[in-house]
Amino acid sequence: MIDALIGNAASREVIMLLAAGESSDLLAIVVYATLAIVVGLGMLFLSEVLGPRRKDSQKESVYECGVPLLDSAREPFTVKFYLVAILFILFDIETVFLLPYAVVYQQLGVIGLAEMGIFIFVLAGGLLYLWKRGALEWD
Amino acid sequence: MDTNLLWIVLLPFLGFLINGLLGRKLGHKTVSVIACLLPVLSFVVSYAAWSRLVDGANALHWNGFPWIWLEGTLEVPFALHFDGLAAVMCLVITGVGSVIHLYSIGYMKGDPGYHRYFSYLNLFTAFMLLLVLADNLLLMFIGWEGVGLCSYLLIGFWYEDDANCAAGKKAFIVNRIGDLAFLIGMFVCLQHFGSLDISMLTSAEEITRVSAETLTFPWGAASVVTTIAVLLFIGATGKSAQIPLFVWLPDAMAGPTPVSALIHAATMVTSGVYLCCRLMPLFEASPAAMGLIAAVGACTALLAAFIAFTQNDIKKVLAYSTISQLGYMFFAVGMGAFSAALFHLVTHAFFKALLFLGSGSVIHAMHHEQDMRKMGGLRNRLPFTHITFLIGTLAIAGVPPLAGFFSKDEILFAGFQQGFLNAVGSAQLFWLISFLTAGMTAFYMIRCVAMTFWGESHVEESLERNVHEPGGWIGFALFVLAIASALGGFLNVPEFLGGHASLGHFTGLHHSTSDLSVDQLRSLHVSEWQSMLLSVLIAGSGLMLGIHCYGKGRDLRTSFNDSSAGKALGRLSASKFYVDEIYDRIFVRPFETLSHLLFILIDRIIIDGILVNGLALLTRSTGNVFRRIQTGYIPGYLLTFGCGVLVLIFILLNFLREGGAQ
Amino acid sequence: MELTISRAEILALLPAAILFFTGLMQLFLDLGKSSANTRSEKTHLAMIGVTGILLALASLFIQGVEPSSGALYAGAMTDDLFGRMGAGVIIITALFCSLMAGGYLASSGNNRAEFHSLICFSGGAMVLLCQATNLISIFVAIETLSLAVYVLAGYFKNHQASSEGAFKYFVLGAFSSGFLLLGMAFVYGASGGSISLADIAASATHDDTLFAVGTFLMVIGFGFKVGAVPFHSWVPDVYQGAPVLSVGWMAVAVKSASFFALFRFVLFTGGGQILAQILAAIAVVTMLLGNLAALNQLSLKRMLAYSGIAHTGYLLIPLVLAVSGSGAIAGASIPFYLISYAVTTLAAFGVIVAISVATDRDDVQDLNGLARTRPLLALGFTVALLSLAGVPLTSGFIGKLMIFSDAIEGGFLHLALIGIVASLISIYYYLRPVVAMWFKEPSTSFDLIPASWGVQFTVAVCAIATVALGLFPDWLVNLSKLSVHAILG
Repeated sequence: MIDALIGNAASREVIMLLAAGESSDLLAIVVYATLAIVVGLGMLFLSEVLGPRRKDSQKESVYECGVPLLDSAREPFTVKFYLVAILFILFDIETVFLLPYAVVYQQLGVIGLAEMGIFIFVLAGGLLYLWKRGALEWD
Repeated sequence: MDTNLLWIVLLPFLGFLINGLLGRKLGHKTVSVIACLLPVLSFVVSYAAWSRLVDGANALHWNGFPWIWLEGTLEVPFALHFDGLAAVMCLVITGVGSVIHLYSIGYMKGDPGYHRYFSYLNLFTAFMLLLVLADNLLLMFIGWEGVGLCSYLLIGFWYEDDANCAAGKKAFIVNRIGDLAFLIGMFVCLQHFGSLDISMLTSAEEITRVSAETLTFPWGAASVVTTIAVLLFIGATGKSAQIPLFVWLPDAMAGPTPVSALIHAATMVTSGVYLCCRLMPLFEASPAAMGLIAAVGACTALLAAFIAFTQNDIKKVLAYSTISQLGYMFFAVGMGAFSAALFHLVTHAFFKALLFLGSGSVIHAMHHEQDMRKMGGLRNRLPFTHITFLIGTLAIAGVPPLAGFFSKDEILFAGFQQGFLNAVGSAQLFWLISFLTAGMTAFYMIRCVAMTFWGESHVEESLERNVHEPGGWIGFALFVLAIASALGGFLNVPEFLGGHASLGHFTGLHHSTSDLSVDQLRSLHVSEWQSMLLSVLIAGSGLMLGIHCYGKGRDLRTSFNDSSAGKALGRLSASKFYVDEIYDRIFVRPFETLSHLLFILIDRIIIDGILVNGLALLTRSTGNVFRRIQTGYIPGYLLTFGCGVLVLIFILLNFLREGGAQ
Repeated sequence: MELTISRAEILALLPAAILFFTGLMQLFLDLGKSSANTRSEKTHLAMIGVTGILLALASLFIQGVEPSSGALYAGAMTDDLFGRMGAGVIIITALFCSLMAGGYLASSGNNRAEFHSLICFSGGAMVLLCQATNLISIFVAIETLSLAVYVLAGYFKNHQASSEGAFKYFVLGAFSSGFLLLGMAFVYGASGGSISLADIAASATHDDTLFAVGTFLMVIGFGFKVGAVPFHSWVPDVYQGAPVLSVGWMAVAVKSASFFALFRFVLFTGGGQILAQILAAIAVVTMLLGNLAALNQLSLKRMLAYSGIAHTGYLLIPLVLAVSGSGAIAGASIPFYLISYAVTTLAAFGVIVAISVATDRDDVQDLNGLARTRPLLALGFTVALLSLAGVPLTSGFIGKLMIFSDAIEGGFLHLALIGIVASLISIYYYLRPVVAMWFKEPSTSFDLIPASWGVQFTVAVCAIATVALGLFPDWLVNLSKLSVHAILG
């Protein structure tokens, strides 16, 4: 799996090529990349130049589901959102470990159970800690 | 194996430690007790060891411990050796040393540096004993350097005065020149003898082996033995104030007078002579070196005696007299009369210490006035000092039967024997010089007595009333040394006077006369009688002339002084032959110029300019660069990080490609 | 596949496990308490911490100097002497930090269990890092310790500098973790898909570009943790901002653990001459920059930060040797230098803890006259500084001597020369506090610096150990040699 992720052979090749400074194979890539950039930028440029422009205050304002704007949208969120998000991701990812364990729990036997128990104990401990420290309370 | 030997050295060292570390807290009384008791104890231990030698024991030896131990190349033990020669030296050092320690109690009373003074003095004693007892040259060198250090510390003891510090430095630096030669001499010894053990350096077969070898110098070849002997002798000229390195000793009188007595008259300055005696077989194996030593000794004796004529500082007179007498000792060494040299060393220790302590007593009484022109007539106020000083003077002048008579006579006879009996041409000249010097010695010493004690008083009114005889330990010390100066000569009464030359036999330095036939012996004795009569005669005439000049009528001196030759000679003498000035021109000035140039080049430009300021500038500017990099902004940090990685990976890949291409 | 677990595996894991458990205990025990008593010393926390740490130490010591039981947990970790020595350094450091923590935190009004337990957590992770023998366990350990240390750096959340330092540390740390991970991936790829260091060593060829780049990227990842130039930029800011005790912990434990792991990695795999040359260049720049930048620092923490960078530079020299394949030469110097650096730095930080408790500052001039008000602290600090400067009779001297002589023996004469020059430069700034302590008049603002007994104990023990190692280095040198040679086989 990791092999595929890294693209072992491919990455080695690229680095080897870079190292060898051989341009023949890279040339195609460079040409392709250049074309892509030129085409993209060209489109933007053309629409900027050729496109018609009729501005008014409605058009300039931020779109808020058709409701008139109350305030600036560029306000920081309260940090509590982040806290909840982080906690969620933390527990989410850690519980994901339970899934593969469920698949192979029979092969792992008693020791596997004990290890998982420790894991859950630590996790529960973390939750308890958060709770007692008041991380779960909004105010 | 005799551990007691260690105590001889250790006891005074203990005194140094106690007084040096705790002296400030202990009272004067405790300090004095400790400082004086320990050298006395050391004397007792030395005496016990000596008496074992007298009882017929072989030389005592303390094997000590391995000190510098490089297998096969350099093996130096920390070991002590106590034979007749060392025994005599130890007794002189601890004996005279103890007396001078006691004297110092009176002399240094009330000095703020009291404990410091005694700790230095004890340290000196310890080092001097180490020098004497060392069984190898390197250990001896430790003592050699140690006494030099103590000498430096004590000359500059009253360091508030710049002149004293300068004198201390001068002594130290001049000694260093000699020490360098000593060191090189040791290197040559190590190279050719493969050892620094004195027993090795003096063993007959080793010397025979080595004397076959020669060293090539740019100016020609020289035998190894001669090279070693000359180098060691140069070392000795530094420590024992001989031409050309004698200039430090007169200045060394800046120290307290007991120090001058102990270090700069009785013991330390004689260590050069001791070195020669210690290595007698080595020196004897090199006639060239012996000739050089005799020449230097005789010339120094004459030169110093001549300078002493016109000195007006009482201690300076004694200083030049010391140089002159040391010259005598070296002259004796050069003549092969090691026994005579040692004998004179011992008697000189007695009477010169006496003279110095006497002068100290005068100086003490006169509230540190040393100019003899401001003295005179002190005989009435300081009768005891006068008597003892007079005994010392007669002893040094060589008046029988005082100590100096026997020893000086022996030296003069050695010269006489070499010059006229063995018909060595140069020795005749040297003998003549020494002979004249004997008369001059008598003359300047009696001048000194006359100016100080006789005639009319030139002491300031206010001072004169307070001048009184110092009592207590000062008187005791003078008394003991006066006895020693009077009787010391009987240690080594020569055979023709019915003695047994016991000192010479005891130390093993005396050349046996037993192989001579009766006739030869008789003719030898006849010439010894002749020589003795001559020396008594010259001493007597020197004394008479001196008394005549300075005692009553001053007409002779005045008329001589007024003649142009007299003026020239007087000026030459008073200016000390311009030796200091000449050295200043030849050595000191060029060195100062050179060092000034180097100071500007290396110190100012290279070190200060480029290294220090340049580095500081570099540091400051790099610091500024860092500060600019170290902005505190994370993007900046990430940029450094990322750029660093990129550059490094680029370099890595570049190298890897090159490596792959090869 | 039935999971089994051997006695050796349990024993090997025990020190780290005890540390983690201790951390949890502290955390839970402090949960119910209100924050009203934050100014109290809360000795029970320190007691639990010290007990746990001592237990961990005991569990380490019962393993003694037995030879390794080989690969444990399917090659994820080992219990060899090298790892044990690393674990020992970390656990002992944790012990001293716990001893000092109570008084320090109480004086700053921030005494909560988190600090104690974070020390234990990161300590446990570091112990694992020292013992880890495959890429994954190395990465997990290093991330665990990093997370804990980020929080420690920002522990004074009301201090702007502390939070700022922690944030910088976190961002840059994440960045460097990326390099580490990428390097691991490259190494994994180059070695044909093995994560165990032994397998990597067996299959790796040094001419392989991928492998060289991968190794280099991993070194960068570690280089960040230990503050090698040009990955050092976080060090001064974080050291200055973070609580003194956290800084001490980072300076000693994080650096030691990272170096132990890095050394284990390169000792196993090597890296080839070219990589060695590049690392040599990094070592040179690190030594010079660290020492030169420290010259003008007036803040003690900042000065020690740069000094720490400089010492990283010295430690890179044996790394260079190991990478170039002469690890056997540098064998003795690696663990020895790290241990010597640990005790020395702890002594120094003990004194800075005392100073900052008393004055809330850490300038050199705050040390003025310390010798008169607190002679023993001043003596300890002096010993520590002299050892950092590499003055004979201290362990620092022996360490430097070994490193430089190893460099000469290994053919890197220029490294040794530059190292010596750098150490000479360093004497200047190390002596400045010494001068301040012994030759300046005490400032009038404080008469007596209060120092908790924990601080005094730490300074005393560490200073004595510094001198003792300087006088009798033999046994530790031999132990170090033994441990490295066990790895090299």
